[in-house]
Amino acid sequence: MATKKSKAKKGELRIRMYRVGFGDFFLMTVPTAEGPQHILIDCGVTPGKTKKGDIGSIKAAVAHMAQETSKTLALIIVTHRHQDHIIGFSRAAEIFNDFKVGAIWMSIWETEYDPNEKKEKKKSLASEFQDELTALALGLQSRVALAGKKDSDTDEILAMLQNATGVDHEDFAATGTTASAKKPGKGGGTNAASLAFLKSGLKLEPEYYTRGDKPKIPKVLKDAGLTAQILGPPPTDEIDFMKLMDLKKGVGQYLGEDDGGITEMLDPFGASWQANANEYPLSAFREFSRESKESPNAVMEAAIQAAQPSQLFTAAKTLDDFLNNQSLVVLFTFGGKKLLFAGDAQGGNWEYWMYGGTPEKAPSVDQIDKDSASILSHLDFYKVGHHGSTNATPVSAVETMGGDFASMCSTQEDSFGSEKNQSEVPRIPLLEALAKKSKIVRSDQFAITLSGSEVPAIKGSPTRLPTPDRGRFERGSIYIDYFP
Amino acid sequence: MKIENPVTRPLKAYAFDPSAGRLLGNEMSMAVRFQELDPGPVVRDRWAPNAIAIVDYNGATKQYYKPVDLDDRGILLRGGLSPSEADPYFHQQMVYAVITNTIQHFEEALGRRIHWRRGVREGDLEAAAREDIYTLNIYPHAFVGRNAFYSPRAHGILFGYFRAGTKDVGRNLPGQPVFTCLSHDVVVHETTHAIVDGIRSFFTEQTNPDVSAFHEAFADLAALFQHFTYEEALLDTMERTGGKLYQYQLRPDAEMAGYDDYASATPEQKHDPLLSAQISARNPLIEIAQQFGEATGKNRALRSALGTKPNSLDILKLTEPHARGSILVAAVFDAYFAIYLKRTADLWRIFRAGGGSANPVDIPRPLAMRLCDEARALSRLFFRLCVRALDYCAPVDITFGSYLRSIVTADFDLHPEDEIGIREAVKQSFRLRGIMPENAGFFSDDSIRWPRAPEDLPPVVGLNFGDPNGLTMAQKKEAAAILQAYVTTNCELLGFSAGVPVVVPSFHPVFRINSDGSLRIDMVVEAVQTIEKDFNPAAPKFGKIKFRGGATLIISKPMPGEPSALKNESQIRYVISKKLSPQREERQRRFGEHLGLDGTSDQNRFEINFSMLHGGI
Repeated sequence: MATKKSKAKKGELRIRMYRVGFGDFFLMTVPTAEGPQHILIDCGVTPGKTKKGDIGSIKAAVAHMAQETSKTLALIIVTHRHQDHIIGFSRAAEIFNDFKVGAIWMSIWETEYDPNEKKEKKKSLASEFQDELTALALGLQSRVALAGKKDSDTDEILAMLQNATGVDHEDFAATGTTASAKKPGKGGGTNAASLAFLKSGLKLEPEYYTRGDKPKIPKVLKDAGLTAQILGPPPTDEIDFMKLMDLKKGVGQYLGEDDGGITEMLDPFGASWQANANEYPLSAFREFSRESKESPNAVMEAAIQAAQPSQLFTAAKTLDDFLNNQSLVVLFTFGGKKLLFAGDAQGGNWEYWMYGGTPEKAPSVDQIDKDSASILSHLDFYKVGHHGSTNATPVSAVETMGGDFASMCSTQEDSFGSEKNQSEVPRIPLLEALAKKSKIVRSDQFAITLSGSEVPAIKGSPTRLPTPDRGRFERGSIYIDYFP
Repeated sequence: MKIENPVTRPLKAYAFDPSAGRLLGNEMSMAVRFQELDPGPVVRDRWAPNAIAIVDYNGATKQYYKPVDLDDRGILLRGGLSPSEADPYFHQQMVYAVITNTIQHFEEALGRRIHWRRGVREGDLEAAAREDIYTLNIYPHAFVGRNAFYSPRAHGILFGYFRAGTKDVGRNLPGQPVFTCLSHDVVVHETTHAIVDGIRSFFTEQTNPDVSAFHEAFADLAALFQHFTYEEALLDTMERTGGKLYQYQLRPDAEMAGYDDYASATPEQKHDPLLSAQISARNPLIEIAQQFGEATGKNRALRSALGTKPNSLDILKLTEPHARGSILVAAVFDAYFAIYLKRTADLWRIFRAGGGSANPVDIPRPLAMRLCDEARALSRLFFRLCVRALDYCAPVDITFGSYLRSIVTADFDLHPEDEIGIREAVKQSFRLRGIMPENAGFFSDDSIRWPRAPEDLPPVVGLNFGDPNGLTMAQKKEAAAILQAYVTTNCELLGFSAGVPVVVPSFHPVFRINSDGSLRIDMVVEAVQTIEKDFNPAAPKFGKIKFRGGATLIISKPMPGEPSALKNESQIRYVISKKLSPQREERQRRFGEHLGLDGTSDQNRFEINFSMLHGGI
């Protein structure tokens, strides 16, 4: 399919969602006195548990965006450091290198140097925290990948860790080496390289924001009437650091020196102490005789095995949540239109601004803050959080949202989770609930053509774009546009 | 001539854990109540409601370890196997001894025998019956991991073991195996979870941020109060803290020295010990699970009795269950030490009058022993109060604020005069930590106490209270029918919502001694209403949520000779309730969302999963 010229009428506000697979790549175009100005919000993709997440289109999408913007961006917003939000910056480095960028906004968690130390450059607490988190993820990834276990949980753990580190574990698992954050994986690029590029490659000091900060909007956008409000993330208080300690404590045993897996199988007493079930009196198994008269011990053994705590899974999930909750949440207002970009914010991040945004308030018992309720009920556009996954858009937020806005969900079906565990992404009941409130478009529901071959739409996709109450959707070669 | 069975069985255990070595009375002998045992050990009487079975199955290596026979002559003659990390027989013996002892402490405090979990009888009755636990199974080496947890699905308690870290592991060897089943605190803590789950049917439903924090706090309190029953350890700590039991550090055996001129030594030098005898240990009495904490690189114990300082902000900020729970633990121990100081003030005055220093390093043994007596008696009193207060809690949706009201009510019920000043101390220490009595108008005793039941409530007729060993099957059936009929008939008088069925998931007769020495017989009855609603009315596919309201009825058996006794009428003294209200419903929804439970439709998702609680244990 040939690239169509955008049908944007001159002076129209536009939000473009590129289809990259499981990841976010949004371009917002604002009409200004100096012509259309562009804001890039994230650029990444991750293969996910099934390896189906990365459809291989991100480089083409970046090239398309470069042409569209003449390699000039008024603003780049990086919501958080997951692969599915940043890998594009290093994977398509040769294109990005020539970009002219007006400003970069990142989450407070990306603050590189301690702002209180004016004289010398001292690493900030947040940046040390991020380093530790990455090291933890990398350590876990190495251990899990080298252990070579094959099951659905392990795949999910590895996919979450890959998203956090940006490192392709299949490489080092095959060669038996440990992971390095520097080695590019399939398709090229690393999270580390992307972050380095964003923080220092553009000769531009990024701004790091937290809830309530007044963002410095580039002049050309400000003059055009664009305003922005930073809703998340919550400030970095020590609670999160405490959670990191817990996390390390929980999985510490998996991070020690490589013991060839003996920790998991550690038998502390030796063979002479081993016994069979029949060396126990029958009374030892009577609790399970209600379930099986013949072999109650087998029922018990199964119960113990099922109850083994899957600490690795919990750890990988906690790590994933940590990073998602660092998401920069931005509400743009332009010409009376309210546009919400929530990154991958989850429970803690949303809760913080929905319920008044002060840590002194015990969460979950208050009514939604008036200002937040007003924002949600007057939305014109919502970028669906975390590719439509569970908990990324809280139920109370959906309840509060008005009933006539448009939303876009950038995702790729069957990349993470499973319907059986009610963890499929995007989560179907959530999208159904959103669909009642808004006209929603999913990136994976429209086929694109990539160097001659087609990446099909997923099964059961609608054939036509919905018609929103306000504005309109339009379909392009590898993207979908919304004109509010 | 048959020799009668003894009352107790001598067994050995670590008072704290293997890392404490032989000092401080760590290797202790326990007089555990005598039970007939099979190898395991397994309590032979399968009908005992509080039976336990130690089954040493390792789920990681999928093999059993040989079971110990505590009736073996070699063990009997030794008074139990001596503590050893390398001997799994000892591990089995220790968990058996500590758990049995904990059960006994709870039964003494509650005034009745305990039983384990009963499945919730709603919907699928057979499935509910499968959830009943008759014999609590204990798995001392169930998995490899830094955790131990009570699992209703596995009908028991799973203890993990793991390799200690390689750095900063305190008194452990780097990389050594660490067994959670050898930590006295961890064993008591997990047993307490199982006991509370048996006492209350709906206490593990997380309906607000306090629920799981309460479970953690309560289990820590049980473990900490147990410390004060170890005589040797208590006496040693008393002497090494110069009578200041609440101090974090124990005085080292040797003074800091080794400098030519102490006065000109730098502060660092003064604090740098040269001999091991100069290193001060941490006070084990007020800490939880020292070995576990050190082995996981925390450089200190897992938690402490005085882990949070008095302030009213923590309660608003902390939501992680253990952190939040430590606020409650600190509040209780603050009150405990306040009374300990008050009660021992006279001893100190006598000591000083006799020429003793105002801030002594050493105290005479007789003084130390008298102080220990007070500390021990008071800890017993506090433990009993905390446990009895459970009977005065509404059956659902516990909060710290309502637990405070239950403590005050439970204490008032037995000691109306408050001679010792417990209620005052508890009120103050809770207030300092921002724990306010829920829905009470004032901070006075009588407004914090749960109100007495209205006088126009009709009496319960024909209720049989059984005897201290419990009710027979027939008595249980009869009582269940009477109570069920009563709550159904008097539904609205009891404050329940009309039109929603009320069920009675449990009732317990309780036998206690009044302060005047007379016997008081009560029946504690749980009555619960449940309604099912869409978790999210806008998205019904996210499943249903169960909202429960409930009341605990405390019914007194009339004294013989009273007119009501002749008519076999028992009065209800308290109706402690949490009503079905839109506010509670909304709070539960919001909290479910906070926990991230809004995206699934699993019916049991509100139940605490003890294995996944952050940080374990």
